Amino acid sequence: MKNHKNQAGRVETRSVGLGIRAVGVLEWGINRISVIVAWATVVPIALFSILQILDRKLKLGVSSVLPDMSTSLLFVMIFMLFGFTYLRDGHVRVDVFHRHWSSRTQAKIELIGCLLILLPLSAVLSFYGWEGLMRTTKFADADVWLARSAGMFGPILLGLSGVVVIVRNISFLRGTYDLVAPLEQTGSTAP
Amino acid sequence: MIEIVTVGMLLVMAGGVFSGFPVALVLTGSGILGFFAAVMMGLTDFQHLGLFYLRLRGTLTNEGIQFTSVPLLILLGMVLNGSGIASTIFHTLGHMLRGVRGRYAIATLLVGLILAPAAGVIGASVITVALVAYHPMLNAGYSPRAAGGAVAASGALGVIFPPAIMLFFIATFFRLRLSVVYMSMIVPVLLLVVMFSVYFICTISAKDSEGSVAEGTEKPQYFSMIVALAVIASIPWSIVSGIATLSEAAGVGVFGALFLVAVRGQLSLTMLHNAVMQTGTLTAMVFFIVVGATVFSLSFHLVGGPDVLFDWITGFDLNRWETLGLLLGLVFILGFVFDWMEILLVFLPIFLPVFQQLDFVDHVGSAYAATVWLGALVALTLQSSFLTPPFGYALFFAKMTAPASVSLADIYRGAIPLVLLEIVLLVLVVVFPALVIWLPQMSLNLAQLAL
Repeated sequence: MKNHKNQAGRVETRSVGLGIRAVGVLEWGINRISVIVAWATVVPIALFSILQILDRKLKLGVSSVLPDMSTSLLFVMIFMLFGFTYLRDGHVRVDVFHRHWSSRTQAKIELIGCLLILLPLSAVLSFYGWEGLMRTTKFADADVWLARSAGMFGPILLGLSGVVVIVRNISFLRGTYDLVAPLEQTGSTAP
Repeated sequence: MIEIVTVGMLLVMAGGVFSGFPVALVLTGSGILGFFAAVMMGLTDFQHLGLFYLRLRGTLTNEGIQFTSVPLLILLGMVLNGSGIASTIFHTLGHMLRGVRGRYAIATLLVGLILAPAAGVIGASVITVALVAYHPMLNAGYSPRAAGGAVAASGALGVIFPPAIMLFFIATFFRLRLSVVYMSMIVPVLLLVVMFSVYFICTISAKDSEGSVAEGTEKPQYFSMIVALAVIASIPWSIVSGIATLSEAAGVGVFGALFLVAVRGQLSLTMLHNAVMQTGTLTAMVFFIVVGATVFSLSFHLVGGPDVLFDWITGFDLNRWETLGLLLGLVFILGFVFDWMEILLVFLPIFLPVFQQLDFVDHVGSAYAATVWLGALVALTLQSSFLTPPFGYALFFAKMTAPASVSLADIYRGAIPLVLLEIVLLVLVVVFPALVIWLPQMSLNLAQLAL
């Protein structure tokens, strides 16, 4: 089991400081966007795979379009959900040592990692994503526009997720927040 | 200088990974550091950083690799998991195996195969088996050791049984047809199930072979079990017979599973919502590692890292069998700490030059068959690693939902004989490649498949 197991239960804050409230709103926004993206990509990819088979019999003439669309939708799903997955602590960690360390050490590692890796990566990917979007011509198909847009907005969402984690962990280290972020959540993300 | 940068990149990566920060982010970070090192060494220009992004976009949108099948297999796994079918199949098999000693342990193993589509990605599916299987086994008088071993083995078995996602990545890495990889794993996995079952029959002393299913548990539901089996089996079958691609087959599997859930009266918006959201996050998790691995591999190649490792390994002057043993040993040890995703996407590409120089044509029959055999050996080694104490991930999943009477030490003790059986199978496959090659050769025209 390599997924990091953080403290279970609901997030409870001791303080309702401005920073914590602001990142709460930010997380709410990321969650809403991610729920919409998940439904708008997973379901069409599944439907397109069936349509692809039906097309061979019914000759609807969509066989040449659907694989492109599915691939672009997958790209959108992956890029737009990186941040959401990070906020739910869904990314793989090697926790052989990590799980034995104190919460404060874990918070510091997360803080350093976000500042040194996550935020710069988000900036680099957003920059090149923006460049890619600017190079997209008006003749490009809708799915290309979708994928290129996700190439820019997805890394921004990842960066914002990093900001949520940074603020919460600083608050935790200061003693004004109870739990280390990100907090593992495996249940439903109710819209 | 190249050696220093290579070692530096590996050390930074190892330090980052063991710090517990997400592996994908550590890979990307150490990859970008490696890029800066390459710039300082004059191997590349800073402006080429944008090429990393283009390479990433190119990899993720490459239609030649059917990445769209990954979310569909995960969705299929989530729907099946949410349907409670694992419990139904467990109790139905338990009922069918009346008269066989150790029947619940054998049923536990077989349920692990049913959960193959997303095994190794959806941890929850293994937990589901554990939740279902522990109590009947312990109530029937199984020792905690036997029960823990059966659950852990069940969690590890599905990882290499068609249509497991890991096999898709094995096929992609070795550039093999997926149908061939699927067929190559059937005989070894079934042999493993037989070996484990015989072990349970011989060692479980509880008299659970008589009587009906334990009170308070589900009644056998043959229809649900047959539909579930048909849904899973239709995926490898339609690929092998050439009727559909993996994505199409997985899509049909998803709708088949939804039909099953609807028939069982368990289809709800909440269940669907959970399945969709988990599919999204697990897909993002898998592909974030693809992103990290792509960035790391690019930088590692840029600084000449693979050449350094190749020189080191060839410097030992090992023969091909020793080299194979070394590579499989490395995969085995890496499997203690890393998921199959990191091993297949990060470490194996690093060692690709070493794999490529291994020539087993005379032992296996043809170059293509030798590659299929190598792929199967890597898959079996990884699977053995997942079951090996003290770090195998299947052991931790087996413990997570275990009753208080089953300790981690019990699970370790239960797993050790099974790991020994796995090693016996590995040796058999090494000595007799036909165990892997025979079925693809019989069902597919392997001779005409080119690399």
